[in-house]
Amino acid sequence: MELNVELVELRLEGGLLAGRIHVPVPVQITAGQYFLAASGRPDEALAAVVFPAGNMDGWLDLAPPLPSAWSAGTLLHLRGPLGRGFRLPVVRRVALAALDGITARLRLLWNQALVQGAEVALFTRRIPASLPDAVEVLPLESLPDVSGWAEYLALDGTLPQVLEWKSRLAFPGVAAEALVNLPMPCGGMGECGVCSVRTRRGWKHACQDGPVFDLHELEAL
Amino acid sequence: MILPPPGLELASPWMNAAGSMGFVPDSRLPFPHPMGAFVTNPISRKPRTPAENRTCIPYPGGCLLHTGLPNPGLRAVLRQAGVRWARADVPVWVHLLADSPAELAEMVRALEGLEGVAALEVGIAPTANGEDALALASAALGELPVVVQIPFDRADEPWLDRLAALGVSGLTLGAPRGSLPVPDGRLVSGRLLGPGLFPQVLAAVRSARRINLPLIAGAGLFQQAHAEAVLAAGAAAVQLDAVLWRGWMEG
Repeated sequence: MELNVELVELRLEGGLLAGRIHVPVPVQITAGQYFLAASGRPDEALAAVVFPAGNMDGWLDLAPPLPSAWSAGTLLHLRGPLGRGFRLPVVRRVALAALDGITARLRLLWNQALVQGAEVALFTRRIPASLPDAVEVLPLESLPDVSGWAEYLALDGTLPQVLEWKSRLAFPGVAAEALVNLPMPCGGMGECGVCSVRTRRGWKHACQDGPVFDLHELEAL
Repeated sequence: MILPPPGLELASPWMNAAGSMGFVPDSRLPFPHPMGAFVTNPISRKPRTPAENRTCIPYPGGCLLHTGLPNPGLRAVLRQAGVRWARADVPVWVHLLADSPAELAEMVRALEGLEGVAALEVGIAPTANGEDALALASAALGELPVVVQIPFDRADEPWLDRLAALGVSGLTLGAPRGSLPVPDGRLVSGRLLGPGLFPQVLAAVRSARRINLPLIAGAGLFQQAHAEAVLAAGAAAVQLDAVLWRGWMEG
């Protein structure tokens, strides 16, 4: 889907720009999917990869970080939603970990888990400003302790962060996924390869096959 | 403008650049004009894995893209894409990467006679000297028209003047290479993409008119007016790269 929209609101979340746009048509989004957003600015050669953090009543919240040059009123050309998002199973206990401190990309996922009636634990070094009471916040360093509790685990971070934490965690038999935060300039259109990720099934493109991968499938660089 | 020779005629001067739209034409993907030809991603004889230090670094006016040009190798591409090239509604130009003339000749033989393949675009490595580049171009000659692709910042090199006599059908002026520092102090090199390149690609087109071959401008075109300007300056066609991922910039 391609949309021309206006950035109607900007705010700081953890010192980074987040925003809100109005979308004129309903958009079906799976948590972890992304959009390419191109502004008309001549100094932005590439579209920015933006992740939805909320989707309700014609409004789409965009997770930080947004480009610092954007301001309220910036016109954006959106392409998406793109890629493969999280596949949250129906489970009772869900653990989410924001490895890079940005929790907003996980917001749609914890909302989905709560709707499913799951208990949700969020592991992060930075406590988000607005969070449902039902979500328990825990320090990231305590993530290994959750192995006997969680029935589903989702990590969100850069590829080195995800691989480092994968090597420290033991979740045998637990469904586990990771949103791998990589540059995805072509949004799956070019298969350019800059977002290549090594998996047990060979090289994959985060822009098309991800950015959410089965954590058990990811292999070291 | 030098018109394309028989076999290389284009219904439209608008094309994509190698590396911008994958290996198979897909009419569902946005393209701003009727497409004259589809250029595949670069294909090598053997599979190439992604570069270890692959990256995309924005800078004012563009970005540096370093990928290692990963691809599954010619045999796998033919298995996956050959039928779709034959069914494509646009001519397919296969972009080839080769380390030696012998390797390139082997790849060319595998492509000759394939339905849907209208031309070969041979990428010349940024570090190749003129004689090596000419040897590669010669090795590609056969049944299919051959277009040589060079980084546009080599448009002044004298060996290009010999391409027409060799039997090459066209010259693509593609993305130049550059280097940028990364936070750990290393330098990363890669292709440069972005509107900041436009004045240079326009100058390169004007310079390369001397070689008496149809020219294709394949870098730095992020505004429709800029693409039209290189066509007016003598390019027979344009190839769009990263602008396809974001849409035209306004003038």
